[in-house]
Amino acid sequence: MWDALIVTPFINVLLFIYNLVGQNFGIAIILFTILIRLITHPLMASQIKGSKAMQALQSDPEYKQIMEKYKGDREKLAAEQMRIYKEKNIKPFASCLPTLIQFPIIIGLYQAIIAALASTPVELINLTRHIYPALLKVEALIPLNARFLWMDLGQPERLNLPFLSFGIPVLAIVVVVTTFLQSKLITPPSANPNDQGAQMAKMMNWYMPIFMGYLAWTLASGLSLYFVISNLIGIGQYALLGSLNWSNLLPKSKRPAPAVATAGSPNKSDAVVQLPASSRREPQKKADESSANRSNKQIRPPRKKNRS
Amino acid sequence: MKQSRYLMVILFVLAATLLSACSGALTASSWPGITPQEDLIYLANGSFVMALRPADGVEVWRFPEKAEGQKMFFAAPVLADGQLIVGDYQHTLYSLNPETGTENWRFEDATNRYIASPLVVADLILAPNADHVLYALDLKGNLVWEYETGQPIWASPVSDGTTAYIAGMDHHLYALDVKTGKLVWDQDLGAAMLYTPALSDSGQLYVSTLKNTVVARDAKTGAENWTWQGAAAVWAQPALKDGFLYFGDQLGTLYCLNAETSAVAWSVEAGGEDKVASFGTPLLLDDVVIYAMENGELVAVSYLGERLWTREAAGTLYTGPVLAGDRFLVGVNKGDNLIETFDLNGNKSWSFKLDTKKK
Repeated sequence: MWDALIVTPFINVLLFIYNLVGQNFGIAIILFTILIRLITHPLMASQIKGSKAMQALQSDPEYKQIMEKYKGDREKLAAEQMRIYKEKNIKPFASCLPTLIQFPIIIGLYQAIIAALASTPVELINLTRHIYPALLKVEALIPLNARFLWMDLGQPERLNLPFLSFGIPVLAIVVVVTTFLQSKLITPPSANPNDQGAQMAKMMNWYMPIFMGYLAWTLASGLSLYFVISNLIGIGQYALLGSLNWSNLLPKSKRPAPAVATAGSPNKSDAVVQLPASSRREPQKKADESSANRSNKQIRPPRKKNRS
Repeated sequence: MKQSRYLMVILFVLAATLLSACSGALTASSWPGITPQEDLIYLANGSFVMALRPADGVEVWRFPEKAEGQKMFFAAPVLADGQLIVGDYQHTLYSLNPETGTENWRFEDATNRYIASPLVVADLILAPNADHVLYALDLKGNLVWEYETGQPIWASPVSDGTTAYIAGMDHHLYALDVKTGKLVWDQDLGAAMLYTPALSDSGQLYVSTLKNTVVARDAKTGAENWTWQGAAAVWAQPALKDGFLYFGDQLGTLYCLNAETSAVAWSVEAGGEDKVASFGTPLLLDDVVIYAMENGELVAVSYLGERLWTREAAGTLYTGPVLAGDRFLVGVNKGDNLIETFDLNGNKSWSFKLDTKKK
């Protein structure tokens, strides 16, 4: 079922493109990835919009108040959240649903590329079974020309230079860099950079490029090529929708955290000002509980001032 | 926080393993390569080359002793001049001591997989590689000559002692001088060839192509004798006996062709309604031809085309059975056992399963 609906059509489209572009599998992977990402762009756009709306809501004063007020009463909190979603016309699943729909497509794309890169007899037998004879001729297609630039797309890539005794994994390095750039550029600014979600996102920004780099280092370079193109298109899609956070690429300045530095200002990220009275009473106690917390460190100076 | 960090690392490792498993590089697979000899049966499968006792299938040695990363072996080892030659799925050709499995030498000039077995002829090892090159080495592993084709070579060469014939994936059938590696002739057959040609005593080459054809060519000149057009792909080297060719196709039809004229002597629809494919070279015994079917069936047909019996190996068969003394063996994919054996009447004998806990 999965093969018939997703993988087989994808393989045939990929190989059709391969034939169209003069049997260059590298170009075929690039064009096929662009094509699939273009088709799924409306879903992606909807996901970005939904996620932006949810992000904006995190900084909404009313929303924050509700979160604080009903933190002990889950039912009431859920009801209030739903009310706000309705009032502000936010669909909480608008960011998840497109991702869920895209997921099988991306997995299918990945599987189609792997299947088409058949580099053993069993893989080739399986590949020929996926080909629609009415659309493509096996004898004209096989063997696929897997050479692209200096790479054999069916093998892990290494650039061998005459003066080096080892091969440089150029594509794996490009995968690491583009994955890092994509992760950084599409991560939305967090209302509170110290909360667990933000910390997890920060960790992902580092682990993901290493993980993808490992895959690119060990897997067939045709997949690495797909990773690179996919990353670049992802960045392009976010740029198109004006959702790139270039500021994430700049080194963080050591200016005081907004919670204190902008106290009393109308800045929406000013968390302390918006907190209810009950929470404001013991800011220092909270700060002491988390010594590693940077913004808590920023809260200390006024107290020192009091002591002196 | 520390806990979630550990959790994330674990999740990444798991995801890496899963994604790797979905790809070609780590799970490169083929069928077990089996070379039966009088004293030992040699098996190349996955991470190991193994020697088994023919009487009961007990493992005698394995090489390497422990699995080494992505190193994999599937091409059937070749025994020649007191050494066992076997290539791996990275780029190394090994010479092993056939008694102990210890390494004599290795050749690492190739850059891709050894899908096919080497051929030893006239004191030369002819080793085809997926890097498009046929390497000719002396028996100590020194490169003597090499010949580059246009695409990977997945088929073993065949030779009459002076000329080596290579069926290439680049659609060309090559004839090379064994001693010098110089091209004698080459012919474009219009489709990729994945299997070794059969060479007759009368100097005819018979080879299957991905254009659903079996082609007969004159070995001296490369001139076309005949081309037989089938209904489906033939994933096998045709077996040749007494002027007839035997092979099965992807729709499960088993054929016997007159090698002189290409006329179909008989055919048997063994694939049933599901059109189960027949893979690999059939085994020619005294009274029967045994064909391997993808669904694990071994179908015995008389030389007159009568279907005699069917036996079952538990798993998928991508390769034909091979004779080992008074029994025949078949390499199994996706089954509990790697090898299943039968006596010549089709009764099950021993089976071999890889001992993954062996130290």
